[in-house]
Amino acid sequence: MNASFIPVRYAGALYEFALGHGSDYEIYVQVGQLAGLLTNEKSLREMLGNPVLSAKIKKAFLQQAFSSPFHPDLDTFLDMVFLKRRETYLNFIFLRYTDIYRERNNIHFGKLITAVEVNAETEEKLLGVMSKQTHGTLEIEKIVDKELIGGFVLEVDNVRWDASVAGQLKRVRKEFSKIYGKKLS
Amino acid sequence: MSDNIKVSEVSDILRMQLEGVVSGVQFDEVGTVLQVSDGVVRIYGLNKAEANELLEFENGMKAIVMNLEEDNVGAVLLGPTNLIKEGFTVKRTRRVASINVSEAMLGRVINPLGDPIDGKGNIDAAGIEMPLERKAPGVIFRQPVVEPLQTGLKAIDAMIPIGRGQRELIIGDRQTGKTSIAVDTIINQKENFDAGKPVYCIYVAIGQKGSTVASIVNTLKEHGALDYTIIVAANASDSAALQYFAPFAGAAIGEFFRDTGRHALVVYDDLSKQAVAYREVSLILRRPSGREAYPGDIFYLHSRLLERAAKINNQQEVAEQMNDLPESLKGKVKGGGSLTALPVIETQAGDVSAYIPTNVISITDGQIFLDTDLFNQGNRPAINVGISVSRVGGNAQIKPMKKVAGTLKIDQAQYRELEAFTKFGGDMDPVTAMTINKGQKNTRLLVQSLHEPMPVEKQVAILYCGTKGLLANVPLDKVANFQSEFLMVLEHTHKADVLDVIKSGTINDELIAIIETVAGQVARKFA
Repeated sequence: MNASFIPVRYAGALYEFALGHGSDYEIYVQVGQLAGLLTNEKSLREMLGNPVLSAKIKKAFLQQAFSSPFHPDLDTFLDMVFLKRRETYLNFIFLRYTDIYRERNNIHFGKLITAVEVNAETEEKLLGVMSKQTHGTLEIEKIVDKELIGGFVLEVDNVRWDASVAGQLKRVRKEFSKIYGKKLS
Repeated sequence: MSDNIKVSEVSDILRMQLEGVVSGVQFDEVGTVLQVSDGVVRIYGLNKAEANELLEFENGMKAIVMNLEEDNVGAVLLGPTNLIKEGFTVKRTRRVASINVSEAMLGRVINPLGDPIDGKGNIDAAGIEMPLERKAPGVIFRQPVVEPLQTGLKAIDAMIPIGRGQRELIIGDRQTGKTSIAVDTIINQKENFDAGKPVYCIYVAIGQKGSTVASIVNTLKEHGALDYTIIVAANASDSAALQYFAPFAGAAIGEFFRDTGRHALVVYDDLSKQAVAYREVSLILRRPSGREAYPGDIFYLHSRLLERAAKINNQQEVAEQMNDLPESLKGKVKGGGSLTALPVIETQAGDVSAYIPTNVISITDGQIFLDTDLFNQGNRPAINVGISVSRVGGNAQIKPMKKVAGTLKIDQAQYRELEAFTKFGGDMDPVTAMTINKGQKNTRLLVQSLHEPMPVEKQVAILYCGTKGLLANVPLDKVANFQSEFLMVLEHTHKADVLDVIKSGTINDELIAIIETVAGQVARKFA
């Protein structure tokens, strides 16, 4: 239960605090990077949950992993989080903050995954359709993944549009498995 | 892959794809796994996920949504935890957790997801998708329990009768014969199956050893009971989530038979282990815990499961309107079906006042209490008649049984009371001596061997001898011999005029006279 209430309260407080200081965007950028870092780095999450390490060391490690200096407002916020021993919730807090920022600023976040680099024209064409649908700012992270073989995967606000060759092959395999009742290698 | 697939079949698949079976583009709602802990994942995203919805990971593993929180979704994994990592993408399937049920499942051992685990290959038949969680039928769609479900055990059919649609708890310590009663009841349904009026049986094994389940399957097979039985197994080595869902899968299968106008019996062996599995899942999901660390909704867990046992109204037009019918079952509903439930609860040192036992006792329509002392004395089934009860079963006894065994329970209670006094020594008056003698004989008559259920007509005949004191002159150690000889004589010389008549539900003076004559003749042999 706490995993739900705590991040919501802390993230809400951070947003209001940042908004008051006019630093909401800078913090949004840094918090987004930190959330990505924490989601992908298990060791970093484990470090934050370690009861032996002091808050000072944990913050120093986090700073080291992040490389660029924290925004002063974010730094103050992190001090408070460490003081209240809520650092294990940091990932959830950061994600919640990005949600709040996007919601208040009508930003739609997504990912465009392609097998090869796409040129600006194709990208514009793809994203144009989405922009019309979402009626807001579209923030897209571009990823190149050769495993897609061809086509693309577009993710916007938890909705995934899979038009990749790999995805199609996966679905064909599923149909085969359904009919022949076994997992195909 | 190539060996078993013909070229023509490949073409068929490709044609199907061209016709749009598999579309080129797919829309999915996706989320990201943020945290993985023993069988439970927390997912970021999936804002529109519904409770009990089935989720699918990129490696094909499934999970079921249990917690819908403000900024994340908690789901229980239906497979090994080590196959899921943080950062994995998970998508909605827009389907609630369900099981594909068909008659082809009979004789098979499956897991709670409906996949066979007996090594006999796939279950190919196209079945009906039955949701694991479903609301129980409302009062309008039910009927009172009036039809008996014969267990084949004299002590139960005579004193604690079970009706079709009833929920009768089997409760007792470990090693007191709880599973044996359930298995005997399943074996006793063979007669109905052979007569073309089957009572389909579902045995749900929760948290048991694989070897125990295998031995039960073997027993059922040896007695020809596997043809009408489905075994749902979530073994001790399976995840807590699977153990939690196993009884629901059993109920869903039972509902398939119930709602298509047939009779079914489901045994949940046992619900104490399911409660423990649910406690584990709830604690990992960080739900607040209550008494004995069980979550607050543990009562609701068992009540909603057991409420699904019902006798459905036999008016077709009413049954068709049944609440919460799954889409796939619409148009196939028939009235008059029933689902009887025999939940099993294991007590610790005979403590029926513990949390889970009291809960389930209050939910069910009666309980069969098994006593370790009785078991060790050789009174098997070790039913403690004093605290066993059937709250609706009395209406579901055949008339001859009601007439013959009506006073048996009270007679036995009286006998036990007098027996306690005789332990002080001293002389006994003839009436007391007679009551004790009859009680001892009846106690012996109620002893029954394992996996040897007795047809109801034979039960009535032999219990008549017991309740009327016809065994008064038979020595105690010859009671079993008297029983077998008496029943053999009846079987060979009076099948049509006694046994078949009782079976049809009638009892008259002429029939009683024959029983008394035969009993007298046989008793003289042993006197």
